[in-house]
Amino acid sequence: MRRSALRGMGLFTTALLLSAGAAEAHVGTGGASGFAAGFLHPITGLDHVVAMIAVGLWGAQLGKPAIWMLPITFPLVMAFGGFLGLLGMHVPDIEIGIALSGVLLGAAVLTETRPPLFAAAILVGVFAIFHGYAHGAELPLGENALFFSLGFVIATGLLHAVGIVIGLLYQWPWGKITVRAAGGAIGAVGAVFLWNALA
Amino acid sequence: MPVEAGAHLVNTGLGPIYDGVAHFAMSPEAILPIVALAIFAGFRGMTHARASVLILPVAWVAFGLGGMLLGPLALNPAFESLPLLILGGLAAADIRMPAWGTGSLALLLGAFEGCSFGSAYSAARDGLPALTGSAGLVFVLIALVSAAVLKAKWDWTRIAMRVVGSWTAASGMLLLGWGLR
Repeated sequence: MRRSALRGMGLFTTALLLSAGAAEAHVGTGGASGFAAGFLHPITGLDHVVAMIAVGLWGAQLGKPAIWMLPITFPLVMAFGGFLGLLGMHVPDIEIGIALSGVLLGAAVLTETRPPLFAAAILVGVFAIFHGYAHGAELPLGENALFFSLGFVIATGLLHAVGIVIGLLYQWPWGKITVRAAGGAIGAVGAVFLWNALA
Repeated sequence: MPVEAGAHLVNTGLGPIYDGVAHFAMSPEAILPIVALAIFAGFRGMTHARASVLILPVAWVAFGLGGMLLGPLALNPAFESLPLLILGGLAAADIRMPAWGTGSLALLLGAFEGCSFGSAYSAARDGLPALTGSAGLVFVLIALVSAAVLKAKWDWTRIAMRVVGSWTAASGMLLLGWGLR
């Protein structure tokens, strides 16, 4: 009963996602003034969006405990990267690292790579620092740091959730193809960003 | 690292007790660590939850009175981030700890936040009722959340609560960076 309910929820949410209209995301101009600015920050960069979704997809593909470990650990590690960025510490080749995250995570989903959990966690954690650093270094001074931070973290977590929900399709044969195809698409997007970063 | 004081009272027009309730209800920097503590205590069991529910509001009022005597405080966000970071991290990690440890955390949190709220009320004529109102909502919040966590039966609800802890700690980490910037 619970399993069929879970399947129904997964299908319903996936249908909602597929029926979404054109994205109208844009670079925030309101500064760090509140929750909305923080929420928009992670979802206005395609390179970040695809990598976050890939983490969720891979977690769902790997199954327990990765499926729940990732949304717990990733925001923390990413926030640490943001912390480094806010302090102005130097981390080299940020754009290349971010682009590589899309390529490698997408490839992992496409090829159904199943490394040991600690290896997957380290790989994802390293990429989380790159993404967090890029956001942290770009954050403007604002009046309400907490609301901005909350919006930022929640948006990141919800992007993982999108990937996890799509990844729930993995339990069906046609769903496996869909999830792997999504991984391939993410890898391709990452490759474009890597090309631009190296150019 | 002194900064400009930003503390202010909320005026509901319903009297100082409700002003205190509204002040707390509009203070996510105080609500989130309490939720994280409630989650952590609920994970650890009934003894931990009872200790937190009893100690936190009492410490809130006691140290709030001290804060009223101290006068307005100007806290850097870096200090405000620590309860978020520590308690959110503990809830996310679901770390084992003796009941006195959880009680000590409740005492420290009540001391810090109570003092902060009390200092905000120092300039007000009716500071004590406002402090009592905020402490009442603190009691309700930690009692409800810890009870909900204690009664959580499904794995996914526990995971969801750990995710809340993780997001709280992550917000605290960013806030710390912001404060040290």
